[in-house]
Amino acid sequence: MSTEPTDADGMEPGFLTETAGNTTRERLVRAFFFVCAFLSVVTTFAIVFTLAFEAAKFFGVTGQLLGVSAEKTVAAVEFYTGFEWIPSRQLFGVLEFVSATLAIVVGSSIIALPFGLGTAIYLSEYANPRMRTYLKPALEVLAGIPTVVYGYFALVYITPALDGFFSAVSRTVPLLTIPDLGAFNLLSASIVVGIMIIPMVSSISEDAMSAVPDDLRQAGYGMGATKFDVSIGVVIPAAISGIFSSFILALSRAIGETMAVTIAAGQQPNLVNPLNPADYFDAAMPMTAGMVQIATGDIAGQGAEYQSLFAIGLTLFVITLAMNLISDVITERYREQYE
Amino acid sequence: MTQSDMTDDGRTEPTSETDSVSADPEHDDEELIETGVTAGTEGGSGPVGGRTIIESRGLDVYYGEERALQDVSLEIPEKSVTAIIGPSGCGKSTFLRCINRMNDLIQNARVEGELRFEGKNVYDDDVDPVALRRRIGMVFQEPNPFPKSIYDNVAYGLRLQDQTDDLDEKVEQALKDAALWDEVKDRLDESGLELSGGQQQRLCIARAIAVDPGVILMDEPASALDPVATSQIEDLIQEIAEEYTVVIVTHNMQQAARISDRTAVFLTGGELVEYDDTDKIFQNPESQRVEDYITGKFG
Amino acid sequence: MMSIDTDTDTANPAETSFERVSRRKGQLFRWLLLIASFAGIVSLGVLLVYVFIDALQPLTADAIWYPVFLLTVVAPIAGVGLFYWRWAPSAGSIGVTLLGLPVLGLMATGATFVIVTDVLGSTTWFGFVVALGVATGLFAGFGRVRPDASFETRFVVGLFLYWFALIGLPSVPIPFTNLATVEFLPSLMGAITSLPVVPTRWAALFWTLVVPVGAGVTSYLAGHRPRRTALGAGVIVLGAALAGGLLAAQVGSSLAVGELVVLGTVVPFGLMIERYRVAETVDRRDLRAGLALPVAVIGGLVLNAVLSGVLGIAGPASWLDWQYLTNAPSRFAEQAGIYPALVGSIMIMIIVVLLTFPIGVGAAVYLEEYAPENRTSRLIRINISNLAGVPSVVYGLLGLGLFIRLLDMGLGSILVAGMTLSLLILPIVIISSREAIRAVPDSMRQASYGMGATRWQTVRRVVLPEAMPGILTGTILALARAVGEAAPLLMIGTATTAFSVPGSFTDTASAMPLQIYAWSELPSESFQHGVVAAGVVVLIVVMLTMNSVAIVLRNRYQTRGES
Repeated sequence: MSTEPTDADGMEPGFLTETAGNTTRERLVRAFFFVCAFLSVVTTFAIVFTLAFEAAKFFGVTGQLLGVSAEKTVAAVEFYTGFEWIPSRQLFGVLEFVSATLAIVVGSSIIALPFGLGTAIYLSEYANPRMRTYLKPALEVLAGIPTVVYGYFALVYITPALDGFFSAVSRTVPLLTIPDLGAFNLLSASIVVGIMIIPMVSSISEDAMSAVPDDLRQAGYGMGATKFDVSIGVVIPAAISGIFSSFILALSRAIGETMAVTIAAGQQPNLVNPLNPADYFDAAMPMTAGMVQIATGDIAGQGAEYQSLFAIGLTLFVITLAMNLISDVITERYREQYE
Repeated sequence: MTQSDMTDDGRTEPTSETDSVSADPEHDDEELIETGVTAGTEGGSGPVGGRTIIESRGLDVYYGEERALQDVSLEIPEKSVTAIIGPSGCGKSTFLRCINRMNDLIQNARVEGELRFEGKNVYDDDVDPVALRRRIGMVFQEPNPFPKSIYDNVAYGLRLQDQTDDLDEKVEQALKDAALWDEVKDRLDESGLELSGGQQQRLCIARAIAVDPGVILMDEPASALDPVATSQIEDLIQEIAEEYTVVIVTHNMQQAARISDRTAVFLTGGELVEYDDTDKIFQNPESQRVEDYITGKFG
Repeated sequence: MMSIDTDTDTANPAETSFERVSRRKGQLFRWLLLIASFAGIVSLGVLLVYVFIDALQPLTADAIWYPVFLLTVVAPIAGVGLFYWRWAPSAGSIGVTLLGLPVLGLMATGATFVIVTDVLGSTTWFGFVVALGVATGLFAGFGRVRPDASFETRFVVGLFLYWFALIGLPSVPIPFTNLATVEFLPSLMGAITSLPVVPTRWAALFWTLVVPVGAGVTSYLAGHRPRRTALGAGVIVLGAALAGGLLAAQVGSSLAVGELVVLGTVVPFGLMIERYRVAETVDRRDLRAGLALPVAVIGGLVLNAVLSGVLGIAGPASWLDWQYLTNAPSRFAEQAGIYPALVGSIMIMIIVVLLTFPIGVGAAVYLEEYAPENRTSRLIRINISNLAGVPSVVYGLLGLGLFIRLLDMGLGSILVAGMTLSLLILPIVIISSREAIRAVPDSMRQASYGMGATRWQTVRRVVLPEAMPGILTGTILALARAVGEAAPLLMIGTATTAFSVPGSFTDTASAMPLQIYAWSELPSESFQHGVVAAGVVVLIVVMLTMNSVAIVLRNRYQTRGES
């Protein structure tokens, strides 16, 4: 049993139990940081709650529960299957909005997916370091341009250019009838949204492809495959989950895109068929643009219109959240498969 | 069986008195194995074998389900160099990090047993590990000076404890004690990262001794350095051992033989197999396993 | 695809057509990929060229203006650039920095000027600064007198001092009545602003901005220069500011403007030169060569302006001119300006910075340094990345439902706009800050803990300083995103057109992207291809500036990490 130290160092056994530093300060600091982190959780709850609360009023669910006067509530079925949105006539069907949103999704993916994937393959497999140092910041700039600006570009530059192009084509090619391109149309909006989300596709896909271990490529080369064969046949399949997830994320962004489509596609609800190219020449109003129109109109107090804003918002939120979660799940689950 | 041996630097060291035979029948056919040092080995005069400053009793460490230290008991005397050697992965660093409770920073580490510093069990509930670490300095395998100036590196610990009077003098003294002052005295503003590997490690040592700790723990401090820098560090260690207690983990047996007064040999599984004066360990170890390890038969 | 002809002489193996085809396919593929990669960028480039042409109208100047411009501005800059490229590339980066810093300083000064004089009023600002200074002085004095006061005591004393300096005991509305109590005690700030004699605008700015900056310069230099030099430099700053003010007054602008312009350009410029002189890695000749670029640019522009004025040459009839930046919107395209929207954006961004930086970094610190590795922190992490993917309109709805309806804050007020945008970019700030903190090597933390530092001490002294460049990069990029957001602001009722400058942070205001949106709905040609284009250019310039600063920071940070 060691004896208690009694030498001239003067260190008594109790010294270790004095707390060093200032623990009140430590506790305060830790509490502050925790609150900051917790705020993110609070935000999610706040979003869900706010949206659900007002949307519930809209759907008449909470009418009796909260004692709020259930004025002009709309049945969910009617909301999601109705074809017309004319608030003044109590018509609240969102299918027009949804169809326009789908059209934007289809249109923008035609541009973003191939170009984005091609960029990713180039960056990951072909580009030399110098090219990468120029290309990557340039793509960041592409992603950083505000969406208002993209909308303006679509309205003022792209639409007239396309109009001129199509007129020239229909003049020179006799049998082809091309519909008139409206000043507001879905085509320009889709193009611009597509350009906007290329960086999302390219950067996430490129990360996925870079993560493919080099051994796989070496195995391919060793069998006499060309770079093309290896890129298409080895790397892409190995990274397919990341690529797919990048598609989903980019499309979820396209769904949520607001200003570009509001400015370029006009503010006129219109039922469009996303698979019919001619419909893209018309003006239409995706969900997000619809929200803008409602919000900038007369939102008088607690009316059904005000609440409809939240109903659409809730729909949007659920869709994008679902897509984000699916993309997360895909990356998590399938990432193990080749490592 | 008390003998006096002349060691390399001329100090006479009493070899420890042999312990009573371990009651473990498993080891009866081996030569006498010491699993612990008799308490109060006041058997000799001289600095070594002096007051015990660190003592572990039945120390067990688990990382999750895996046992890293097995029932380690030993006493480390003050103002000496104690080396801890053994093959990789046998718990040397784990033991070292128990002394200043750095293992607390690892999430699934569990410690049982006692480890006493200046007589107080550092794992008692009322001990503040932060206070403990201010009394014990640590030097790591890879030199890790902060990305600050040389001056600020050495002053870090002093500023931490609000001991900022005579800061310039204390920094200078620490750098002198670490044999670095002459090389850096006119560039104290430069970043610590600009120094060579050996200089960086000496800076880390200066940083540790600036706050005048009782004990300095070193975890393979020279293994990342070239031979010249290594021998500088070794000389430095022997110098500072006159003021401070040094506990050094090393996988380099020759180094341990060169610089330490006492050596503890850990073998696989975190088992302390033998702990004795350095000469005894290297010239005439009690345990066959230790002898095998030292002569290179395994490990 | 022909198989190999077995009769071919092996000493001369012919290239079979099999191999040729596959190489062609690969080449074609590579070119396709290259085109795909650049398609978006090139399209954007073309669009940017269009909008810049529309905004700046470069083709509308007098014929003689072009050669004059080429001679005075383009040729010198091109010459200097060529010189850098061929003979002195390192001087080139110095030159760009020396040019860029004053430009950034000028933008910052402009924003400061607008806020301090137009929004707050120079008297209010003066009162604020003096009150703050008094409170801080008293607090520091307390620290001297009682150095061993506990943390709690100091906290309470500080709170007390700052409260009374800035808030005082204002009148409190009595609930359920329309009455309010008398103001018990005016705040120090309030007392100062209601003094009968207040400093003039330029004097207020001098004492509250020029003098502190001069003092800052002196104390910075005192670190490694003799005291005389440091003091001299501070005096030079004060003198230069006054001289600049007088010069500006002569030219038709105001003393206050001149002071601040000098402050914003000369001080960063001088400090940067000082840093270069101190750094041993900078060649003196490179430094001197680097000065050539700012001289060429500024000298060229001044020369061009003077010559044009003297010779009576008209430059391009650009939509984006000084009037545009300082006018309010108007029905008439020629008189339309973006000033109130610009001020609104600045004020909103101030709120955003004040909220997102501490909260975002704080959350990141908690998640990386304090939180245990368990399911809760994983859930928080997933939660944050989901929040980052929520469309910005939904954040607007959150602002509408929560801040405006539930908490009854003002519709479209700057405060609400700032809070909403903060929530929007908070996830991004948290994510990038976490990465920066995670990149700090663990060995540094070990060294710090090994020395007996507490967790907060380690974070404050080791982790945060090391991670700060990365944190700043991520934050600036997030802020650049917030500047351009319009959808959430529309939801919370921010005005799309504001005709006057907001008076306080609870007033309504507009913002640049919203003004652009409002204008884009006006069909006239001069709006669509003139006014809006100019607004777009302003917005893009702001965003590109912020992005460039962030990228420069990131590059410096990465090269530092490798040294």
